[in-house]
Amino acid sequence: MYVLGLETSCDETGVAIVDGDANIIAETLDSQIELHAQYGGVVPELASRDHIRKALPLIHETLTQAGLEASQITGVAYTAGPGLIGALLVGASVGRSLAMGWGVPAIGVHHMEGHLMAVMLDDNPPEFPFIALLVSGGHTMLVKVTDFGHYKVLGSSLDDAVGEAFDKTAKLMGLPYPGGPELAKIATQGDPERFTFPRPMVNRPGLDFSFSGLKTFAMNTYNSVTDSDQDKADIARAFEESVCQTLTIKCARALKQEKIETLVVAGGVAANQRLRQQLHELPAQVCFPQPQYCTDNGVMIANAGMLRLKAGQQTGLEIEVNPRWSLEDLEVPA
Amino acid sequence: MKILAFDTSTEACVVGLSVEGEILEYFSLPEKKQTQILLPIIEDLLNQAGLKISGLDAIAYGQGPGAFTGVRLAVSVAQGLGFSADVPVIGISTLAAVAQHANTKHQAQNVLVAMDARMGEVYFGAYQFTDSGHLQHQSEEEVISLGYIPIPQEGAWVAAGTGWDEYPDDMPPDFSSRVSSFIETLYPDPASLLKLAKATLVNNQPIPATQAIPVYLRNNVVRKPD
Repeated sequence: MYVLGLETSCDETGVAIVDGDANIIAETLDSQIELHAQYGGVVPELASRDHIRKALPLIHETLTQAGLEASQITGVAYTAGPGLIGALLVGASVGRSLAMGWGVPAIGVHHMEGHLMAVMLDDNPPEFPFIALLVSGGHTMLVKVTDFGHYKVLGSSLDDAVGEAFDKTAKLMGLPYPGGPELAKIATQGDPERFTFPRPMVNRPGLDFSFSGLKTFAMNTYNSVTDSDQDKADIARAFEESVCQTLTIKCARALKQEKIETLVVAGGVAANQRLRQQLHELPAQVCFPQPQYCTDNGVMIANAGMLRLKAGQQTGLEIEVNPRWSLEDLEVPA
Repeated sequence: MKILAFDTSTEACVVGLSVEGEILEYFSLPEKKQTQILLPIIEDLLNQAGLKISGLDAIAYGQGPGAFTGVRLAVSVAQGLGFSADVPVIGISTLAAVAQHANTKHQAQNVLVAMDARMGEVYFGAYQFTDSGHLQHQSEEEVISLGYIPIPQEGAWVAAGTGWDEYPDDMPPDFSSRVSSFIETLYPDPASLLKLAKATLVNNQPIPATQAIPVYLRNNVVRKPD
């Protein structure tokens, strides 16, 4: 069994082939960061235009890298949501048509299921059940995972996603796009004692998040200082500390509430070193996918698609995408 | 020759399959989304003809201009189907297909096509056909306000496409006198796509699926921050 996976939900075009045992056979990735940098954020129409130029050449390259004939591919997976509708449609149309032409089943994959299951690609994958913290530029959520396909969303962000809050805060301080990683970089030079930012929603029960107020707090603080490099670093440090502590407190709460001892962290923000440090202090087994599979990629889509196809699911000839697709609306595998 | 052709650049879903001169066709202004019906229709036509993708000589796709997502649908389906069976592809101008349709249906030899491009503009092109209905000459296609379209000074012209009714106030004052009629041909049709595809196949090399790209004409889609 060889499944080709295609990810085009936002600003990365990712293609990969995995086998039926979740071994990665080949993978390619093209990032559009430079394309969107000059606009300070992802421009959906430009993202779609880039995906349609890149997807097929990357598929060709991935097959070549794998040393496989097209006739050896037994299934095609593509991200069907959530994400940017135009970008999703490119991957879904190319992927669905390829599968039709090859005469193999196709499966539309939930992007967040891809992230959730990416940790299963590790040599020593965690056992079910686990709590997953998904943190990226588009999503912030805590999910209880009792088995493949069995998900319960315990909490999510009521406004900005955590990566979005990082990027926006970086942008208001004039840091280059994408600002999140840059903010984390200068935070290491910041004085942790100088500013104390609030920890949003930690005093309230529940597992939801809110980060837009924190962003405003950062802006007000920034407007009250002189704008030196040290000022920026100190603000970055306080901001990062607040975000990481808030996430850690909520993770601890979720683990306790559900009586679960394993935490899986995925999404682009999972690459943040300070967050990793703090989460590792939790009394739980804490697992991170390899860094390259934390951010968007084709491997996680191929992998989740492979699992779905194995469970006997497939998608008809209708090209369907769902830009706002809840994890809880996913079909439970038989 | 066996050619599959489709266009989704307009509201219409247009699919045609030509097998040694016999044409199977589908045309609708669908209530469902084009994305939901395009592949099932293609499969249905192929089944009717007892053909597989790999049995095709070429796949022709409406390359635009038109609705961006519609254009990308046709292009990405051509990419996927073409690549899957190593069948070459042919990009067909949606404007030229509308002109060809007007030629076939109304024997119009000189056709101006304008399709609504929103934001006060149309996608525009001028097309001239031989007596036998073959596309002989075409202007450069552009996205332009109706007020600035180049008005032909010679010959009898007809106007086709959805763009003319959209911006009546922008129409140049002497335009009506230069156009003999506005015809109701608004969309590409399967036979026109196939006719243009055949002509391309005879005169030019088709391209590999990896080279299929949309023609948007409108390329300023975002304003850079100050």
